[in-house]
Amino acid sequence: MMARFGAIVSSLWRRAGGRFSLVVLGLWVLVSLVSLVWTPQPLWRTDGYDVWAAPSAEHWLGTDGTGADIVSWLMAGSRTDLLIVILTVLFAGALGLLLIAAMTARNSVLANTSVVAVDALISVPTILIALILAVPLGASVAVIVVACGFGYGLNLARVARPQALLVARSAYVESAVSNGASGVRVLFGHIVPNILPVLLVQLSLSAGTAVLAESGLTYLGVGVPSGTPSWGHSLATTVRFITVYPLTVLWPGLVVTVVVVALNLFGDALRDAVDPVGNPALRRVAVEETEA
Amino acid sequence: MKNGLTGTAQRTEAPTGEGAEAPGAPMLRGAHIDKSFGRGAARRQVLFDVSVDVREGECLAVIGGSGSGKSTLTRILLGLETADAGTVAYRGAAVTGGRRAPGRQALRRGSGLVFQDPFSSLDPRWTVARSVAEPLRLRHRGMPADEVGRRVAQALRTVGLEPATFLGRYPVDLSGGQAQRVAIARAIVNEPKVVLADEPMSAIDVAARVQILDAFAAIRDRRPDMALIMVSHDLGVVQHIADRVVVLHDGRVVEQGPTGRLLAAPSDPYTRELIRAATPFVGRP
Amino acid sequence: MAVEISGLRIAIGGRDIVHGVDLSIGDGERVGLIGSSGSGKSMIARAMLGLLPVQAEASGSIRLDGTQVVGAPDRALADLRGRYTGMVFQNPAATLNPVLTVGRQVALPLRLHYDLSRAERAERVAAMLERVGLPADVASKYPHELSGGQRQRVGIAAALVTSPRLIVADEPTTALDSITQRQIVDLLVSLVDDAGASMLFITHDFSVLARATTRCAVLDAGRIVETGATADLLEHPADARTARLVDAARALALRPGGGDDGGSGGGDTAGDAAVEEKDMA
Repeated sequence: MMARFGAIVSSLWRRAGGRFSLVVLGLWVLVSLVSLVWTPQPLWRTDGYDVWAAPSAEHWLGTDGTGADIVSWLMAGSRTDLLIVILTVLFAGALGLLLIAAMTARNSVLANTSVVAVDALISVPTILIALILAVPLGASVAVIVVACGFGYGLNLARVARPQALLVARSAYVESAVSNGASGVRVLFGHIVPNILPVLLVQLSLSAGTAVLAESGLTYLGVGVPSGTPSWGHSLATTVRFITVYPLTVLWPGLVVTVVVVALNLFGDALRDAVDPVGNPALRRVAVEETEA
Repeated sequence: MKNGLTGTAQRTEAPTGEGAEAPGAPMLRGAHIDKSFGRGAARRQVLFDVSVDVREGECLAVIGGSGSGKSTLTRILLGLETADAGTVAYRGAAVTGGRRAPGRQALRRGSGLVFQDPFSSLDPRWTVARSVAEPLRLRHRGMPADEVGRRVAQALRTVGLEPATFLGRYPVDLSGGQAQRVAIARAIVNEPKVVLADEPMSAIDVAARVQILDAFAAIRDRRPDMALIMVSHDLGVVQHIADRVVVLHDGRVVEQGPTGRLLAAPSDPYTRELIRAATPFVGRP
Repeated sequence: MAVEISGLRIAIGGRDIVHGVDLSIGDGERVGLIGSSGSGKSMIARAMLGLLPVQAEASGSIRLDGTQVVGAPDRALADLRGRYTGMVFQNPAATLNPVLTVGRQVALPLRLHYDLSRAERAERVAAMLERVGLPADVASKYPHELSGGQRQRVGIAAALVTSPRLIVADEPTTALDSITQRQIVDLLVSLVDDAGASMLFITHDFSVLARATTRCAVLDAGRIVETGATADLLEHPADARTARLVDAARALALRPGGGDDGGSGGGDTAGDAAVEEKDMA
């Protein structure tokens, strides 16, 4: 087990994209944790005489229009975005798997109905769902997670369906079913491992898009509520002054860009690292384990 | 050569009545099976009133060209597909007639499957150990891990694969012949009463086909009561292993009988053509 | 068309698949190339027609009637392929275009490489279909409406319609049942001989080779281990790897007049002589 984990991590590290994404994502998690106990400046210390300040020893990245410390808000915002990404990926993944299970079901009525339902629902824009959800919920993290998770889950199911169907109709699944394997067992034993490459890439894309969506929805006022630190919040409060104080927009924009790129690269690298078909190092570990 | 002739002699001496040629009692019995695919104008009947018995401990070869209905027939016998008309019974209990048919569960529990293409019949993301163990895990939920390991190793040895070398491998690191033997090990690990092998050699190199034949022979040695149904288009392949041969042509049984008698004295022109096709060395036996 | 291959090496992604192969095919000769899967035989066939995958690197020399193929520009290769060579593939279901009728499929090489009127093309296609033993109405059918043997006949018709001087047949019978196999081999041999063309026939099965070729080369792990007249190789294989292939084919061929000892419970099979020991290592 440890050897397998080691092989996966070293495969990730060997690729430039994998190394970059591991460093960025590791920093993200670290900063999120640190921000719980420490930020360079207290979040709510604002100074009306020190607005739009340039970077200095006191304010490493300067201050915004309320005189709040930009770097402190970005640090605190990273944990909100981390939470949103994790919840969105979990939600999208769970919904996607549920739909894949339905679409590959042996019951043809269920399979056909779910395919039609996914095709119909996928045409509803994420932003529309968010705006509708915001009516009862107001601006909240839940709006982002549910709207994004819903859209990405549908997309995931549709993208993974062809591969999942190939597996579901394969001879090895027929062999398993003739031995009495249940639908759940086939799903998690055969279908999921074989569509994992597609799942990982799609979910990492979803994670990146969730960060972008957080910024967009927060700017529209239906995302993270005002006063809660988030990268989208940092962008929304500064972007109107981009022509006057471009640096204050640059910092959150840079963070979002780097993280989104890292998430996409991470998905590609992880796909290649965890797949025994594509990663010979992982297969060697399995052989060594049984020879021992 | 000599072997073949004596085999023929023994067989032609035996009485020709049904049941007298092979020792085993009928275990799987298909009677008057009809089957069509498609609807309306595209409807095509692939089996016409086919009756066939599989006896305990015998190897029955179902022979025919592509489109003869041989795969469909054997899949119906094993309850993997439903017949339009006719019945299948396993040890006297009906297999046909819906999911709740009394013989169906018993047949499922007592059968193993080997497919044509070994690579698409093994999960590419499962190790050999896991693939071969799957039927045990499904049928014997509480079996201790070391017992599972013991039986998996034994099944692999039976098909001529050294467990220490192969247990940890994935299908991509196997040759076609090795992968097919892994699939055979999976089919027999549960000690089934009947194994269906659907063209198990046609997707494999000639040199490796011999190993597959040896693997089946070793299994039959270990499990004398197990029935083996071998689907093939090649009489040369099955002559070494089959006790009885059923020849299908365009969905009808044109001839059936003990292997020796059928090869020595084929009564149907199609069988004669199959025999000719399996003897391809020119000017040399 | 005479073929002269010397020192051919093919590598994919830095891994050598073919290590210095020499092989010659005389004008009008039928030569076999036999080996197990993974021995590199298909790569050699593809290299001969300039059809190697893009990531493959070939070096050495392949001359078709003196014309160098290795490293030749794509335009020259396309012309060579269309006019002078034809290829028959293993799996006709995968190589025929499912949305084209058989007639258009067979006419395609003529359209690409010859300037013929529509009527002339139709006439040649009809004649070709007749020569491969297909009924005339097949021309208006689609590949999925045909049996495996009929599809392979279409594949052969498409390969031979331009009257090529060299036919490369890459395992043309592997996907077929035994009766159809025999028919296809016989058809291919008679068509190639009638046209006076040369043929390279690739297979893993000696029993097919005996009918299809007069001379053959045995390929193992990218190297040619033995060359000779097919009948001689079958009688007296000198190399152990050749012997293994011959033994296997002989073991699986039907013994005339009898059924071996199948009834005894299967303790003794024909293959004992050819059991591969390396798996146990």
